[in-house]
Amino acid sequence: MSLETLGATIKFALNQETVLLEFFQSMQKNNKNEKLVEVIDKIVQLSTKNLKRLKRIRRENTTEMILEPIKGLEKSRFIFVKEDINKIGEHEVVNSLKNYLTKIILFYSESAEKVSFIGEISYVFEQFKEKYQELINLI
Amino acid sequence: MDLEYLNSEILKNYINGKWVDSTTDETRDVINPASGEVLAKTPICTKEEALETIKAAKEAFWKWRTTPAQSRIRYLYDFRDALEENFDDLVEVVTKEHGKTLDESRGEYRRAIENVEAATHIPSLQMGYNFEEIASGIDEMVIKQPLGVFFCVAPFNFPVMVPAWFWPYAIATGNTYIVKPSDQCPISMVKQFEILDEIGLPKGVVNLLHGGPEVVNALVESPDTVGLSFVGSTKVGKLLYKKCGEVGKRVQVQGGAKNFITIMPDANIDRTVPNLITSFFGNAGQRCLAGGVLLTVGDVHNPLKEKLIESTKQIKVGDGMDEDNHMGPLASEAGMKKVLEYIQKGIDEGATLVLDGRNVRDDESLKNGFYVGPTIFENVSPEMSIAQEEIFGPVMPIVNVKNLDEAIEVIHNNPYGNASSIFTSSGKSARDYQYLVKAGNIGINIGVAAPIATFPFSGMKDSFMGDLHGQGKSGIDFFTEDKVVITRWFD
Repeated sequence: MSLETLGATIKFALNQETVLLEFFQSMQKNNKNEKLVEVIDKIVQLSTKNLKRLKRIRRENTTEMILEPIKGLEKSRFIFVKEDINKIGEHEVVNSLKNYLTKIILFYSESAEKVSFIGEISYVFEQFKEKYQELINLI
Repeated sequence: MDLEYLNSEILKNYINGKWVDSTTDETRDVINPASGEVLAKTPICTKEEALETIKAAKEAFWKWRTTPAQSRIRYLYDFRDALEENFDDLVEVVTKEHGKTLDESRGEYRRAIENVEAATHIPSLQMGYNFEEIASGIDEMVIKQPLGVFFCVAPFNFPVMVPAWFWPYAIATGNTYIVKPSDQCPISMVKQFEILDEIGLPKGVVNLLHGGPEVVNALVESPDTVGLSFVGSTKVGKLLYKKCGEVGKRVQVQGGAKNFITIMPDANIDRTVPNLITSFFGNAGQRCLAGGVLLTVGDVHNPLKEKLIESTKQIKVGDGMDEDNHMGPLASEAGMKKVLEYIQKGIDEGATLVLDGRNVRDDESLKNGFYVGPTIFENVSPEMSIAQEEIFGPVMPIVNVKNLDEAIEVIHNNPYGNASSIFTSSGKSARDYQYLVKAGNIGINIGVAAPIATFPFSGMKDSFMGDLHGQGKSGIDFFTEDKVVITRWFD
């Protein structure tokens, strides 16, 4: 199923951030790898901020006169494969972490382009992509 | 914010700082156009109730007028904050009572909030001006003073945004106000007045009065009201304009529209098509700025038409509460029937129906709503009803013309002049268009030429009657009267 409206795209982004946040919060509690503590904390902080910002841009930047249909943003490509942190082995944690971030980076990267008819929202998606990119590079 | 309590309940008026039941037995159902469900009932109030409301607004005027502007606008700051806080809930109310999509309701609310924000600039906007030594030892100044009780008669298509073109500026400049919301979509204004009540605005400064022609006539005829802002049909607008003229009342009337969108052969078609879809089918075509006729110039017609049809077929029609839908229902059953009649007229008058939106209700999930899908006609001549009259629905008649001169001629032969847009990559064509076309709001590569709060919402010909528009400096001038003071002090 594809995301075809601005509202559906932001709603999907909110949902993705919520799932990601829950996963990383649970990782915060169960993580045994000291090298990952800092980066997991940063991801939790970023996702928490992003959720607030997404609600804000939906409120403030939905410009009625230039709403355009969106094409080619296929939801299934960005959906996380949910994992139970308690069942992931220590050596698989890094991969799992990267998988989540890769998916959300891909989503923001493509959606930034698709919502370019509203520059402010496109810019915010670009920023989110860049910030997650910085964090994935720390892993 | 809960809508449940409204079910089948008769809405109240807000008069003199209190919620009051109407004394009338006559009501109109407020219907969710996506489902046919009755959300509430609008009381069709009486002349006596209108007079009582006017009395309250008049009594509140002097105390409010002598309240410093800085104090007056603090209420608007509080109101604005409350709108932001309750934004998601308020937006849902618009979608439920009107049918537009959530994104469209968000856009509408944002425009309303921008007007509230613009009205907080009153300490600068309401400043007069002065000049020393107009003659020896004599100075002159202009003071912009409020006048008294203003009122608006609001339409159904933007139940929140349109009243916000007026009442925030009116009260910020020191007037008092009566909002007569649409009887079809009044709940959004009720929710706004619940917030106005909570922020503690002094009683009588803003009032909400439901009703129909009896109430409007009483408001117009009263010697205690000073001005009307009306948005609705040209037919009713002309009557009100005449009446206001007879009794010496200020008036601004935004009437109907038939907005022509011209596509030049040098237009960027890929960028133009999404704009056209927004313009013709956004808000289910129920905007006074909606595209009304597509004028294709020369050989741009075929490639444009093909892409348009292909993209329009992708539009998902359904309940506006579902974020996946691009287009909601028409706002009323009567509106739906009117659009269906126009589609039939188009066929009867010889236009070619290339995309038929009449059968969307065959879908089981849409059968109870007032849905018409996007519809496209070609081989339309400018004389046909669908090219002449305001349809107020998702119908795109395409007229092919030879050149820009012919396009402008077609536009000028239509009585309306609300908005018009051109899509082109030529500066010369764009310049000619903005210079020559008699329409109040011109779009260059923009399908919906909607002015922001600090600009006037213009309109010409049969689309506007009056001298001063809503919003912007025009709005401030409408709600104030210039007083000239000439001073000389003796030794």
